[in-house]
This record gives sequence, structure tokens and C-alpha cells, in this order.
Amino acid sequence: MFSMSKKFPDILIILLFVFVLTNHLPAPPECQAMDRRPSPETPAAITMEDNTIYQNGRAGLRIRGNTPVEVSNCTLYNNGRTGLNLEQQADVLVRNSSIHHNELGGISLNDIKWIQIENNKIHQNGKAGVRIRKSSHSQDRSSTVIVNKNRIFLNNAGGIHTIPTAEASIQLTVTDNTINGNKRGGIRVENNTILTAAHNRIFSNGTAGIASFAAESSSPFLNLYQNRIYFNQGSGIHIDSGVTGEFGISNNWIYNNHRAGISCGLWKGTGDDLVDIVILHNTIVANGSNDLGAGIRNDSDGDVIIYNNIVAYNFATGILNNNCSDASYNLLFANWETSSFDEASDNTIFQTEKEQYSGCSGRAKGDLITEPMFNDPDNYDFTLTKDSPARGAAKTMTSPPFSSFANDMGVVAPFAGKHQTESSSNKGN
Amino acid sequence: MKAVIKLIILLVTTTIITPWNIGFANPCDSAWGWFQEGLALYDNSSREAYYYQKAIEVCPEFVEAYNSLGRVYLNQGEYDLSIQAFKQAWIQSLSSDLFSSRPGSSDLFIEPIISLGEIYRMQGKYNLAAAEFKRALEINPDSFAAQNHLQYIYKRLHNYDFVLSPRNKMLTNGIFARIPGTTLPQGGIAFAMHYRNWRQTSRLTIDMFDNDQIFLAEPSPSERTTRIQSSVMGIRYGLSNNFTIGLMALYFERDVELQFGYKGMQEVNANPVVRGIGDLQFMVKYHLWGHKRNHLSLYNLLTIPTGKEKIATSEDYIWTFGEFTKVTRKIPLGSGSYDFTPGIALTTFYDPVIFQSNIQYRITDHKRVGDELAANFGAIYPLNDSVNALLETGYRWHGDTERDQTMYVLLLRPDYLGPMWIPGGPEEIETSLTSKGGHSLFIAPGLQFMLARGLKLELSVKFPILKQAEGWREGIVFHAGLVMMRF
Repeated sequence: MFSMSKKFPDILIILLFVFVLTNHLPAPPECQAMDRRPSPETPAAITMEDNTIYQNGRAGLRIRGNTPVEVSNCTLYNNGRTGLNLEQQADVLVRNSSIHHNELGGISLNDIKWIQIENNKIHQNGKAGVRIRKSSHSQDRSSTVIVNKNRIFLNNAGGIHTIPTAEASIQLTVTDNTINGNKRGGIRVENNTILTAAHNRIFSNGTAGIASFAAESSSPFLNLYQNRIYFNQGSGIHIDSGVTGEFGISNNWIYNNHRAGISCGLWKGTGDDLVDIVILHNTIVANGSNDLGAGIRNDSDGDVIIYNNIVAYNFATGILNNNCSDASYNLLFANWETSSFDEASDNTIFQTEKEQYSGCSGRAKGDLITEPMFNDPDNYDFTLTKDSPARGAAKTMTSPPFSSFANDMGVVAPFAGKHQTESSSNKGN
Repeated sequence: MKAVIKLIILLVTTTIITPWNIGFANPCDSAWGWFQEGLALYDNSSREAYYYQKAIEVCPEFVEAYNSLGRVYLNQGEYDLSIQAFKQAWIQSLSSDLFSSRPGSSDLFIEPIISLGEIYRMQGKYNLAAAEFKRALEINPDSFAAQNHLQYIYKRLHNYDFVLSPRNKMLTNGIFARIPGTTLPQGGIAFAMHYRNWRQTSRLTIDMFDNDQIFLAEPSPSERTTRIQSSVMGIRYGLSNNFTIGLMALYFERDVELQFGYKGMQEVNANPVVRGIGDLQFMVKYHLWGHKRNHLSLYNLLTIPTGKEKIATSEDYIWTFGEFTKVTRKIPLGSGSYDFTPGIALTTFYDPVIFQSNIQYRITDHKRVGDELAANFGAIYPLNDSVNALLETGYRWHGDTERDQTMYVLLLRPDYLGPMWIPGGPEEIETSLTSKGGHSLFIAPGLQFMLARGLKLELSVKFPILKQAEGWREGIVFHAGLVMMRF
């Protein structure tokens, strides 16, 4: 033993011993019980803390297997593939870390079971900030991904992107994040993704703020509420296919996106079974450019119900609904090239109701065409003044949670986060 | 040997420290590191601003650092500092070789301008903001961000005329394909006034008359020619967004040249001129369907026969059989019947071109005028802010007409027998004149000029491509018009 120690440093012997232990001894009881859904309170079996992992040829950190792992206060950067690569039933909490400048993206999740990504900065990666795949071959058909309080910015593809196959599903909860300046969409979900996105600031992304597609037969399930979605170069929310649930698309401030505020089925004749959307109590302002866009536009054959929204100052038109129906109790103002239908004004061209509705025949029941009277729209504050005509003018919703809201049109429970501006020249990847 | 090694070492060392080699160590490369430190924070903090300031200190022409610094100040509410930073970014982007040579820099060129515009917007300085966004669009007309902000600013300024791009600011009716697929908005009024001038000819053969007292001048067949000047005044009004009514009044001047004889008299060359109000047309139009930029309307034109027949007399007296003769005839200024012209109109926008088409069929009593099928198609292309170019084409089919015609020969006494204007009495010859119908096709290039808000001047010339084989053959039509729309 003594003679061996001259050839092998003691530390290597210790490491070898640890390696043997961790690979061949039975797992501790708490780890064996991890087939249930973990929670943040579940203690992690392995904690990786205060590490800086960089300039590796492959991923910075690769985790597989179902042992709970916590990665905290780490910096993963300049790695040849993704910063963090999680595979096969991985069960991970990532927090307070910085993941940036990795070649193939920030975090890549493949067939994982559960992950919470919290309070991280994920930026300037070569591809998506967070990419989530789920295949039907995995043991669990569903992945649970919680993304909250992160800043995901300036990535060279989308901010968050889910890609489940038809038989698999991803439950994605995205709350309280700032997702901005990414080269593609802020959040893009596909197929059988169940997305809840709330209290996020999603802005200045290269395409839509939030986009929903179905390459397979199953549409994403969407609950999008209390977000600020602005300055995106596509639509604020684009739903090629999708179904909304309890909250629908509600209480969002959607403004100054370069295409529509909310668009449904724009690129193809989406069938009626793939779009079933409820759009309630949103404030949608000044979207569109170059004659394109609208406040809300539905080109699909599906069901899109549009109630209690404020749609103002949008390019092209206010509400463009394929079937000229299912829109009611909305306030429209100054969409297309018009202001309100103000007979006293003589300086407007095409000052019509029709243009507010893109050729559909005028206002529907409960609609108002008048100035909404925002508190400070120039500074992106779209709360209503006391005298706003939108106050008390909404259709009363009997189902919770809307039944508890004030009976005002537009956003009635706004996200408290402030507007933040970005110069698009900040994309120094 | 040692000397050789020493020499090599000396050469290598010299190479390393030569000034031109030192020159490769560009200070802006190290500034990039400061800039990245700032981006890594990305929290609009003073620390982030500090990193950008350091980057600028090292590399004063670092445009992106100025932009980022401006953004931090903007989000901190430090508008004046932010404006300074963005102005510096703009100046550096104009002057820096380093920036302009960097890949992708052209895309960033207008970012400081847009950011300045946004600050002015946030400060409520709309005119300054609009100036910045317009400047950005002058550099890059496709900048969505500038377009987006500018349309909002214009609306806040209640400056709706400039919200749309020029192609949609124009009022987009065709000239000959005049009825669009869109209807006026409720309460919208459109006034139109236009003038047309053309010449039409028709062969005049004896078999067209059913009275053998009429004979034609030799050599037969003769030709009749009419120069027509028409003026139209019209008004249209939007009763609702989908229902428009209109009334059009016509005023004609017909200058007729015809040759015929009577009872073996010498040939009579008559050039009667008639002027007067033609028929009124009452239009109703309903917007049947509209989707995106396609609009379809159904309409009907009801012709109210206010245009009378006018008796025209030749100017020259003709001495024959001991008496002076004047030739008169009846020339219609209207159809003489209530005609219906149902039609369908379609307007389609394929950015930037607007296509307008309509097809209509006029149902008549076949007397003064025959049935008519008309199909028009026009493409309208915006050349710039205030000029549209149009190319229109149209097809017409006219049915035959059998028009009752009274030919007058007015016999006058010679002046040595008494007052000249004591007529010897007209002699009426009742006949009917059959005009053949046929097919015709035309093409019409034109221009529309926006003179002022809502006021448009239009000029066009209609060239016949295919003329009717028989009946009236229309020549080149000159068109000038003014259209005014108020909403």
C-alpha cells in the first residue's frame, strides 16, 4: 500500500473509491422513490454548486438517469454543444446559474421527467435558450418543465422551444420570465405541449412572442395570461394550431409587435379541429407594420371567440375574423387608418366601422368604437382612466376566474412587470 | 552556428515588436470584452452602463456600446443621457469605418434613430418622434419597427392621411372600370366629375332605312360620324357600410355629320349639333362579401330617361326646286326608356397592385339603344406617394337597335318672297333606322394624381383594339376627371 502510494496520489485513490461506491452500491432509499413527481421541496441527491464549466468540446454538463440533481450558482459557457444537456428521466433543478455562449444552445432536454429552471440567465447561446424534446420511446410519456424567473435573451434561435412527438406530451409552465431579443420566437410550442405562460415579459424576439404549431395531429393546449408581449418582429401571439383552456388567452398586454397582436392560422387553411381559442380581456395596441397585421386576426376555420378586448391603434385592421362572427363586447379604436367613427371629424380617410372589422359588417353586440382612454399609452401604460368608456362595458363572465374580475374591457388583472425597451443591436452573440 | 541561431532569434524578436505588427492589436477588440460583460448582466443597472462606458472609452467608435448604453439609460428613465448616447451611436455609425465594415452593420444602421424616436414618443414629442421614424424609413423603407412606431405616432397626432403607405392613401377607383367591389362607408360621400371626348362612326347603308323616300348620297355606302363630348356629374353616398346609393347626370354635345338625299334633290351634307341633358342613372350597390383584401359587391344602375330627342337643323340652306331647304333630324340624348343594368364588381388587393373588375348587362327596349354587356378590368399601381398608374381593358357587346327616326326636311321661302324665317313647312319622313351591334375591345392606360386630401385628378386615353364590324365604331376616347371623397 505504501509503495503504491508513491505511484498513485492519495486523492486518486479516494476518487476511485467514490466512483466504485456511486456506481455499484445500491441507491439510497429516497432516490429509489423518485418515480413520483418531485417538487422543489424534494431534496436533491446530488447538488452541483458554484462550478464554472467552460470550453469543453461537448456539453458543459450532461445529466441522465433519475437521480434528483440540483445545479445551482454554476456558470456554463463556451461549450461545444449545449451548456446543460439532460436526458432520459433526468430529474433536475437548475437555479441561479448563468448559461451562455454555448454552441448548440443553453439547455437541451431530451425525454426528461421533471425539471425546474429557476432564476437563471440563459443568453447568447448558439441556438435555443431552452429546447425540450420528448419522444414516445421514453418511459414516461410526459415531461414536466417549469421555467420561472429566468432571463432568456439574445439566443441565436428561440427562447424556449418544445418538440414532442404525437404520442408524447410536455407540460410546460413558464412564469415570471423575461424572454427577449432571441433570434426566433420567444416561446414556441408544438404538438402535444400543455403550455401555461403567465407574468412574462416577452419582447423584441425575431418572430412571434409566443407561437403554437402542430406538426402532428394534436394541438398544443394553451393558457396564456397576464403577459406583456411587445416589440416582437412577428405577431405577439401566433397560433397556427392550439386549444385554450380555463384561462384562454387573457389579460395580456400585447403591443407594438410588427405583425398582428394575436394571429390564428395565418399560414395555411388550418382545420377547425386544430384551432379552438378563447381570447378574453386583452389589451392589444399598435401592432402591425407595412399594411400587415391586425389587432386580432383569425384566418383559420376553427373557433376563435373574441370577447371583452380593447383593440386600438393597430395597423391594417382591428379584428379580422374569418367568419365575421364570434367577436363581441370589444372596444375598437383607430385601427386601420382610422380613428373612431367620429362624424365631427373631417380629416380622416376611411373613417369607418368597417375598417375596424376588416370588411365584416360593423360592430357586433356590445362593441364600442371609441377612444379607450389609456392612462399613458405613449409610455406603454394601458391601464384605463377613471372615465374610460371601457369601464363597466364588458360582457359579464360567469365562469371563474373571470367572474371575479371587474367588468371592464381589456386587461383587468395586469401583469405588474414594467415595460423594458431593448435596442435590437444588442445581439452580440 | 551560434551566430545563426542568434540571428534567427533577433529576427523573430524584431518581427514580433515591429510597429505594424503591434498595430494588429486593435483596442476595439478589447472593448468587445467590456461590451460582453455588460450584455451578460443585461439588467439595466448602473454596473451594466459602466461596462458599456468602458467599452466606449477604449473604442470610441463602438456603435453597439452606445446603443446599449442608450437602452440602459432609457430603461432607467434618464432620457437626456439616453438621447446623447443614441445620437453618438448615430454619429459613429456614419463615420466609423470599423462599424461599416462589420458584417450585419447595415441592419443596425438605423437602430439609434428608431431609439431616438421612441424616446420622443415616450416624452410625448410626437413631431420629433415622427421625424426620427421618417428618417429611419428614408434609410430603410422596410423597417418594420419604424413603420410600426410611425403609424402609432400619426394616429396620436390625428394625422390619419399619412398613416398608410402611399398605395393605400390613394383612392383606388378605376377610371373605366369605375365601379369598385367596395362600398362607401356609412356617411361617406364621393363626388365625381369627368369629361370625355370621342368620335364614333358608322356605315350608313340604304338597307338600314325602311322608307324608300330616303336615299343616300353617292358614292354609297356613306358614313355617318358623330363627335361626342360628354360630361358626367355624379354623387355617391354610403347609407350604411354595406349599402351605397348614387346618382349620375350626363350632359351631351353631339356634333353629327351625315350625308343623305331626298326625293332626288342634290346631296345634303348636314352637320347638326345638339346639346342637352342625357339620362340620369340611379345606382344602388350592396357589399355582398368581403374577406381580407377582397371585396365583392352587387349593383344595379337604373336609367331614368331624362335625355330627350333633340331636333337638329343643318346650318346651310340648299337651293332646290325654287326653294331653300334646311335639313333637320331627331338626335337622341337618352335611351327613352327605363333600363336596368345589374352588375357585379370585385376589388382585390395584391400588394401593391389593386385589381378592380366589374361585369354588367344593360337590359333595354332595343329602341334607341340596344342591350349591352360590358366587362371591365383594371390594374392600379402606385408609382409614388401621389401618383397611380392604371392599365384598364374592357369588352363590350352591343345588341342591335331599331330606332324610330323622323327625318325632317324644312322648306323655307326665299327672302325675295318674304321674310326668310317663314317656313314653307317641314315635311316629315317617318322611318326606322337599324343599327347593328357587335363586339369591341379596348385598352386604356391612365394616371391618377392626388391633388389634395381626398381630391384626385384622373387622365386616361382609351384605345380601341377591336371595333365592331357594323354599327357604331368608337374611336379613341379622351378622359379627364376629378373625384373628391369625404368621410
